Amino acid sequence: MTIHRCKRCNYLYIDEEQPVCFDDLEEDFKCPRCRCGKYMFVKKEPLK
Amino acid sequence: MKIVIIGNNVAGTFTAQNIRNINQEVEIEIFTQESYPYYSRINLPELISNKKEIEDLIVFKDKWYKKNNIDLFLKHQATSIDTKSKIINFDNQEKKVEYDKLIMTLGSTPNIPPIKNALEMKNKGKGVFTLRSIKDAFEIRDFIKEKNVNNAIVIGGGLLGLELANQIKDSIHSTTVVEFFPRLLPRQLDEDCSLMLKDEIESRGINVVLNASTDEILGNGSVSGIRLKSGKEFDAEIVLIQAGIVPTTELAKQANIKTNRGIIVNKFLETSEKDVYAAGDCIEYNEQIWGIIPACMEQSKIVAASALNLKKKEYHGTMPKNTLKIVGVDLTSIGIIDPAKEESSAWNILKKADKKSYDKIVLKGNKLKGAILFGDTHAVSYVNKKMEQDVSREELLELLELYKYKCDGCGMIYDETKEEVLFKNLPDDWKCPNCGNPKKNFKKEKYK
Repeated sequence: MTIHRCKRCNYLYIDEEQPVCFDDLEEDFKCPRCRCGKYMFVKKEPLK
Repeated sequence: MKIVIIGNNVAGTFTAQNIRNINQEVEIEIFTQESYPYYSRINLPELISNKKEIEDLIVFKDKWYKKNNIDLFLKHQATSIDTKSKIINFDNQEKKVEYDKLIMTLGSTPNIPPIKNALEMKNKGKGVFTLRSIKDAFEIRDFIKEKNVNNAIVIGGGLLGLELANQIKDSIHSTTVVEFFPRLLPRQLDEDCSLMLKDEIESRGINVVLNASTDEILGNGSVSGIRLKSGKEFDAEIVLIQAGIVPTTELAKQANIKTNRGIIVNKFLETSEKDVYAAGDCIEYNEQIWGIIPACMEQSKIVAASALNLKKKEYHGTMPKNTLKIVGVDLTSIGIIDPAKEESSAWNILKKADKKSYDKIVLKGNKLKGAILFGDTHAVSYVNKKMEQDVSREELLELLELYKYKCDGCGMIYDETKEEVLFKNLPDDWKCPNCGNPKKNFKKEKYK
C-alpha cells in the first residue's frame, strides 16, 4: 500500500482509496485539506 | 471545467467526493429529484418502524457539501439531455444546465415481477408498495397505521425484503415472506446457512414460504391477499414487493445513449456519447448489472478519474461482497460461496456450523476465493484482507477454532473438519464409537 503524507497538514493520500495513484496525479494537484501543492507531499515508508 | 452529476446516491455522492479529493478547481454540481441529501437506503425499513428518523439516515449533511465545495440541487428532475450542445433540461422548464462532463448516476427502481394486478394496485395506492426512498417508507408506515393492517406479505426474501419483514413484524399480527427461490438469500448464502437463517427468522415470528411464485394480487379495490401459482392463497392487507432492481435508463435512452438492461459503459465507465459517463446501479458493464454498494464505491473512483481525463484505472467488475446485519445477525458473504459441484476436486471447503453461527471458507488450491460468516464476526477482517491470496490451512483452522479430539483409550480421532457436529455440541452421554470411552476422556489437539 502506497501512502503519501502532506508535510504541512498531515493529510494522507492513500493510493488504494483514491481514483488514481499519487504518481499519476496531475502536477497542479492540491492537498484536499490545506490546498498546498504536490511538492509538499512525501512518500510514507511502510511500517514494518 | 464543470462536472455535472445526476443522482445523489452512493455512486453520485462518492464520485463527487473522489473528484474533489484530487481536484479542487473543477466545479461540481449534483442534481437529484430527491428531497434529501445522500441518505442510507439500507436503513429505510427502520424508518417504517420509527426506530430511526430522517436525520439518522442522512449520511452527508449540508456542511459536508459546503466543505467540499459541491453544489447539491434537490428536487430537480432532469427530463432531457442534449449531448451535442451539452445542455440538461429539467422539469422546471426555465432551468437549463450546461456541462463540460456529465456523469449519470441515475440509480435504479424496484423490480416488479409480472404478477397480476401488482403494478396497477401499486400505482393506485391500494396496498401494494415497494421500498426505495424516504417517501416510500413514510407511505408504508402511514398505510399500516391508518388501514389497521393485520397481515403483511413481503414478496422477495433478499436482504432488503427480510429486513423489511423484521422491522414491520412487531406492529402487525402476521408477517409472511414469500421467496421465489428454494432458499433465502440465494446469492449470499448456501443451503445449510440459509436453513439456519430461516430458523432464526421464523423464531422471530415471521412466516417463510419458499419456492413460491406469486401469480396474482387479490382484492376488489384494496389488497386482500395473494394467490401463488400453486393455487395457495394468503390473506394480507398490505403487499410489499422487494424483488430486485431495474437500472434507471430513460434519460440516457432519450439522449440516444446506448442502453441494454442498463446504460452500457466501457472499462473507463464512458458511455457511447462523448463526455458522458455513468456509474452505479444504472450501468451495465460486460453484460452485467451490479446493484451492490461495493460496486458503486469502486466505480465512483474510476469514473472520477475518467471525467478528469486521468484514465489510469480500469473497471473489471466487482467481487460480490456484503457485510451487514440481517434480522440482527451479523453476516459477511464474499466472493464464491457455493462452488459448482462438478469441479469439486479443485475446491477446498472448511465449514464450522455451531448452534447459532456458521462459518464457511472456500479455497481453490490454497487460494482464498470466498466465505460466508454468519453470526460470527471474528474472521471478517482476516477474510477481507486475504481474499484472492494463498492462505495456510492451519492458520484458518486456528482462526475458526476447529480442533481434533483424541480418545485416550483407543486413540481414535474426532476431527471437527470432517464431522457435521462440533465436539462440544455432542450430547454429554456420547461415547467413543470405537471403544465406548466417555466424552470427557477425549483430549483436544491442535492441527499441525
